[in-house]
Amino acid sequence: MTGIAFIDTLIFLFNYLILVFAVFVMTSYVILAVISGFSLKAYLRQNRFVNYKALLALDSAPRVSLIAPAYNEGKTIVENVRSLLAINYNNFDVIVVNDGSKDDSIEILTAAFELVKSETVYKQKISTKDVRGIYRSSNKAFSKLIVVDKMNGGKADALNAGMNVTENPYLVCIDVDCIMDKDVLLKLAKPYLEASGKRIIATGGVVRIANSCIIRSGKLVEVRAPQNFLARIQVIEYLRAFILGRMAWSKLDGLLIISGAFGMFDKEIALRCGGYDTNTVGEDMELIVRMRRYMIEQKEPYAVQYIPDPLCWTEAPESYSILRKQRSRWMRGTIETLFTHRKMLFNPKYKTLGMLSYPYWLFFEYFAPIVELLGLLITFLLVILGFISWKYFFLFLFFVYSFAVMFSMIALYTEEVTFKKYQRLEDLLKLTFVAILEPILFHPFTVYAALKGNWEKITGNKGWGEMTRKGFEKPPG
Amino acid sequence: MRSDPLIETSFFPAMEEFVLWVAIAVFTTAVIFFITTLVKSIKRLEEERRKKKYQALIENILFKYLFEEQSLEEVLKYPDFVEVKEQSLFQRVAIKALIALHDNYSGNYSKRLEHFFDASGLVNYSIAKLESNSWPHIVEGVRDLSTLNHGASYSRIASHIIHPHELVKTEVLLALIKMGGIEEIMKFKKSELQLNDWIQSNILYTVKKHRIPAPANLDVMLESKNTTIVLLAVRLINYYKKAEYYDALSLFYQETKNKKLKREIAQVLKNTEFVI
Repeated sequence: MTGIAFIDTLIFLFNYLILVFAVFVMTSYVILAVISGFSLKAYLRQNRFVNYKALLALDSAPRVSLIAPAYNEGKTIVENVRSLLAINYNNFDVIVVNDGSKDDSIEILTAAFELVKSETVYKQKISTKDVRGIYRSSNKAFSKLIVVDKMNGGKADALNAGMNVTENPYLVCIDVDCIMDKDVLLKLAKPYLEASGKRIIATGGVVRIANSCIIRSGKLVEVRAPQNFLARIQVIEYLRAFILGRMAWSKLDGLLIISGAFGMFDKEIALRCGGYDTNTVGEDMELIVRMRRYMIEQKEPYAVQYIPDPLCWTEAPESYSILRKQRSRWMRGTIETLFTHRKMLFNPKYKTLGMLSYPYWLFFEYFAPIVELLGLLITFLLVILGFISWKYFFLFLFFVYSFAVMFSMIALYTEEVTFKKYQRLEDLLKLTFVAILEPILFHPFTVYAALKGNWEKITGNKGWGEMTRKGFEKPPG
Repeated sequence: MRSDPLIETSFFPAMEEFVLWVAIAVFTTAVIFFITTLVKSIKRLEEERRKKKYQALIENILFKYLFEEQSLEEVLKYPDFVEVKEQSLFQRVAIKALIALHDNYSGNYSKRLEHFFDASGLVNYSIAKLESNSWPHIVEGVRDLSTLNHGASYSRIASHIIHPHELVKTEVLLALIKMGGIEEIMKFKKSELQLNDWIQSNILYTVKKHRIPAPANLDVMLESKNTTIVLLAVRLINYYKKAEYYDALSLFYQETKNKKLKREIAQVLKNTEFVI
């Protein structure tokens, strides 16, 4: 190499470090995939006989409030709220929190659902921005709807306001623009009915990509692979994360996140923990970590359940700039949560969370993009200095690329043998095609976005970034 | 390119070969998964196509039998039916279609469907499942036979109540209620069978869907030491609106320390404006 012993040793050690890191990441992915595979198989064997509608026969089914924060959603809010009100469940209400929208959301809602200002007094169990009014419908057909109009305080603040308003013991926090499976509440509520011994503090499920799917009247009619290339790649990414990742973490009792798009919580525990943290952009992850930490510290037996059925369909960003903002925000959320709960790292008191989940998130979710950047910089340096073994370099590149493609193929295979949502052969081929390109075109971009997230955190950027959505119900091209 | 003889000679060649083989193995695995997914997808599409064909066939036969008054002997001799009747996919589709129709019709029509299930030999498919060692098959068999009211299988179904798998036990319990009424649960009055809320919701659903009549002595269940049985009794009293038991419920409310039971009884009595 350079002939300078010190530098040679450094390069040699760095290479080994990167190699060991990569082997650890890949091994952990494979182990998680195997655990997920077995867990999914067991879940589907059990659940093929479940008649979720049976829950409707129980008058005392868990009472649930769907809390949907809305900010400038005027164009689509009526359709979205109608869709939420049509969910199959007996004991539920829908609380839409208008988080200081600058558009005419509140006027649109008032006209569409015949809202009148209610006399209900707003009690701040959790401190939030001022609430301007609580509205209920004068039409009995919309008796399940409550609209809270408040000053802008962000998503977490809006969710906390909803939590303050509800009288039901369970909360389902959702993104108002997501398409929910009509049986979503039945599926989320079932674990609460089966609980014995352990208190179920939260249930969460799978989020899937709805771009180009056929949606009519707020209902998903047919699942299709997105026409947009970037959205299509995200399908693969979501399949890998939800089918091969979270299922395994749930099995290991180490789930650190329930997607902000939808999750069900035990209100009492959420309130005892102080509700959503308004100082983080990763409020979904932070709340679940705090609730779990709280239960462990209180020595109360608890469980967090994961439902692997695709229950929530969301619109993925179709432009690089919006995707970048979303991913940078996710990274900031991760940093904030990991920092807030740093006490858990390698702390045996927190069992799987402290010994496995937290270190995994720290090293393989937070550090991975940084390690990748360092690897890239060192590689460039070695190229410039002429110290690179090109044969070895390309071999290793081929290995890493093959691994990424293999992992995507496993995700596609698992989808095919489990939920079979992509019914057309054409969709499978489209997804395979993007799986081949993903490591080259998409992964470097996510690394860039994550690094940008780090930078934003360092420079004190606290914003969410505009997430412009195109909306559903368009012909898929 | 300058080189470190030690690293170049001992490390790289061995490592290169290792990485090469691992990369080939990984790449091959990716290809295998892709091909398997593709094959499975094609097979699934083919199966969907066959299912649609069988669905149309069985519906055609059943409609002729039910509404065009063709005799069972006649419809069972249809060449299309004879050709596929031994195929397990067809049997599965046919039983599903029978159950769907059975759900929608009552009286003579449902009796005729039950007769078709028996006489066509489809019942043997479900009995074979019931006799299987695999618990999902047993559940399926129990569900088919009980929904289509196959009385001859009653004792065989009942024998599975001691099955080690919880789902089988629950399915058997539901089957017994469908076939023998609420009295079947009363038999468990002294048992320690734990009926969680999920199982109870399934029982109530079965009772509602199959319009199971109320038994004469529902209050017997209130005497159980098993609080889950008592809770079910409270819920059944509520469902059947049996006002004659409200006094018993009120008394039970005052005696029990079980919060869940208290809450449930209070709700039932509140709905009826009965004063505790």
